[in-house]
Amino acid sequence: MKNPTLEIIDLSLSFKGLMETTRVLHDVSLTIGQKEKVALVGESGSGKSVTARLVLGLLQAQSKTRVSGTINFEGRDLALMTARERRQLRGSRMSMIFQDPVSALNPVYRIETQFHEVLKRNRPTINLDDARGEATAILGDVNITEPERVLKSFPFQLSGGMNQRVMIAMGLINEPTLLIADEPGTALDVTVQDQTLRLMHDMVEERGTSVFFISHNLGVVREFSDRLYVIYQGRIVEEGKTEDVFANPKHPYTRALLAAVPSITSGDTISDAINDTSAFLAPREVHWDA
Amino acid sequence: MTVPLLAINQLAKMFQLEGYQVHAVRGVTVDLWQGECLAIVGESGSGKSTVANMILGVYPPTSGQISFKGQPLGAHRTKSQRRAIQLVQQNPFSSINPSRRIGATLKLPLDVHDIGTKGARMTRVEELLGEVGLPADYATRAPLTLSGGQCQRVAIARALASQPEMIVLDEPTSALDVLVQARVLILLNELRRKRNLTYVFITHDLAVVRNMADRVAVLKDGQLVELKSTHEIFDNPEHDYTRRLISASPVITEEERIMRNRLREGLAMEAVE
Amino acid sequence: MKRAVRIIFATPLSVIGVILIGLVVGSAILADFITPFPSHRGTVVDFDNFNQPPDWTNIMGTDLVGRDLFTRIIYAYRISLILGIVVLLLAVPLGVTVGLMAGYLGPRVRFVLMRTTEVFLSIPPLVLAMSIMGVLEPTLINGMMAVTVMWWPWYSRLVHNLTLAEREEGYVLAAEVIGASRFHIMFVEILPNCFPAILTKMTLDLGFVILIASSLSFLGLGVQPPTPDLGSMVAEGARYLPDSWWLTVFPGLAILVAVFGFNLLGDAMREVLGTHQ
Repeated sequence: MKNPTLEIIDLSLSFKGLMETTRVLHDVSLTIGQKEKVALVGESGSGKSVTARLVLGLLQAQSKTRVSGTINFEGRDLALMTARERRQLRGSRMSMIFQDPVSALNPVYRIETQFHEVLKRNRPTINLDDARGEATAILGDVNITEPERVLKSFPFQLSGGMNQRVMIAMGLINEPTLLIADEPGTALDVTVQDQTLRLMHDMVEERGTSVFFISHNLGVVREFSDRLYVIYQGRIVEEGKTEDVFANPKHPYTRALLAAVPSITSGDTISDAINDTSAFLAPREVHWDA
Repeated sequence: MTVPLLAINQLAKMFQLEGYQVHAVRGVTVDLWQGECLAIVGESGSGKSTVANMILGVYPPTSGQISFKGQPLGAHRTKSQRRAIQLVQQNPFSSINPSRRIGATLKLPLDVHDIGTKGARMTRVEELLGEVGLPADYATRAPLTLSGGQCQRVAIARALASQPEMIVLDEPTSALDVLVQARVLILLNELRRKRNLTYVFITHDLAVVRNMADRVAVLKDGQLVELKSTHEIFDNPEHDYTRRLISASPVITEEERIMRNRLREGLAMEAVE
Repeated sequence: MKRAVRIIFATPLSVIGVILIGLVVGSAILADFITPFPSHRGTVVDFDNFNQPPDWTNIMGTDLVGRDLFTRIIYAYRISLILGIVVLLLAVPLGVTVGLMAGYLGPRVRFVLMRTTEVFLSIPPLVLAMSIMGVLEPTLINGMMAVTVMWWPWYSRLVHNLTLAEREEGYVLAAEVIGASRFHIMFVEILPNCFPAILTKMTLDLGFVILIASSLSFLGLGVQPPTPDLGSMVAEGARYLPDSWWLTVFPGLAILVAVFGFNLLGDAMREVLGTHQ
């Protein structure tokens, strides 16, 4: 792939515990091309969220972790950047949308102040009025009909779905090249989650943003990604174009994940899933992903 | 089968919140028959959890009644009434007391309802663990060493311990990963068959409903908007809200995608909040 | 346990706390064996050696009737610790029970219990204890009672707040649905989850109880002579400052060491038990 937006090469990570060392990622390699939407699918404890945190550079400060491998963002090795450069990157070239919008937004500031802060990352001199103008425009893009009222509001005055849209708008306002979405909307109602995903899809499609989408549900990923990787116990077990993986899943774990999603057209999927899923049902006690 | 196991009649609940009133549930009527699984679906704020709490007697209804086997359930329930209706909650970690061993958690219902001799209760606890697919030595473990799915199994075992006739399942799998969810749902289906249990399945996930429930009650803003057999509700959803709920489910197969897109076409472009 | 040791030794201040408290408690327990003149804790008079500055025999000097100050301080520790422990043993169960009931038994019970608690909390502790001691005879027992009365409300407030949070947890609802008694839910389900915070506060408080008891006896309202007490020793010596400095400085330092040590230990407990609040 030519000039990928994000390239992860042989990423390994271990946590040194009091008793033993837990290997969390085993040689994970993953590429996200320009304008490409890529999903990383796995269960809690599989290593998907730590991968995202490593890309964002949010795990490196800890002393008890050992990281090896390379993460290249737009051709530059993240490990060679200074902490300041990495901070500069987050929120401008690379942004993130979280599971729970209410906890991701700061409850004590108005939405407009938070937009202003985000815009200042790219343009430190921008004043509040200009920020307000740009925010109004992008809030319109995420189908918010009264952007002025929303900008004057505090996060707790808005509904979950509204906050989620604000998050998407904030994530995209600096025109990032990469958007990392960690199970966006799973903390919300199904219909709101569904709307959120469709909205995010349209927004990135228009802007040509690359997306790194993290989820535990293959059903959610299907409509949203061009390619996907399946991660199981810290290893990538399958990768491919989304339609190919759905049509012809190679790894038994992928098949289990597919079988486990209950169907809206048949009432027997759950009972049928038992054969596919039983191989991956050994109780695992890894909790570090949570 | 002349008397329903649980009869909910014109149930309403109003909460007083700092000067204004919130009608959480307004006039819900539904009967539950022995051995069936009724799904109550709706989004947050639809009143589905309020209905569940009134069935369990957490708080009394503002108006309307609930009767169990023809006997009205009053504000203060008898021990045998409590014993007959049990609960599995959404958050597996919160529902198991972190400072008590699994064995103590499972022994509580046996002690409260005086089930079996004192000496036999620990053996019963181990049997219960076996029934939900956990090894007997989990009785001595601390909850913090268990995964979410395992905690949920313990919660199911606790609900079974008092030998109830009915279990209220309040979003029992929505906090779990898909694979774990599938296993827990399989277990719940098995137990229902084996013990002829009646389930009230509270959820917002219509795909889960399709695989678990015999009948579906759709709640919106505290009102019952649709009550039908599971087959009918998926084949012919009447209410827009029901369609929207179904079409929001993640889809895997082409067949599902077609079904969902058909539903979406029927819906007007969703209004912005 | 292994984890606890590791966490304590990870921070130097925790280690200092453990050492200080180890010394205080150890010397108080072994006072009969490690003090040079065990009989000096009572009414011994040795006018040949009265009011002597520190030397090799009396490392902290002697008091106005010639008793070894070091001996008296170690025995005073013993009294202070007993006092502190007894006070907490009385105040904690009382405060915890009130707090659990206020937090769990509904708004009316909460109103009565928490307003009562607030009344006690609103009176400055020393004023409350002093007024009680003004009515009662100044004896060790009464001193303990006075400090207990001012101490329990802190625990009822702490446990009340913890209970309000815990009762929202699913396990409380689960126990209610099963039909468990309110006693069971309060004392068997909720209370164990409050233990870390209670234990941390108890450790911190042991130092403060010692300080308050010393303040009372400094004002002449606490333990009466000849029983050695750090507060009355400071009070007595204060009249002879600055010439006989050792009479005040060493008992004062002793109070400081105990209070400081328990504070550091309390912080260490907080780390170990994970009760950051």
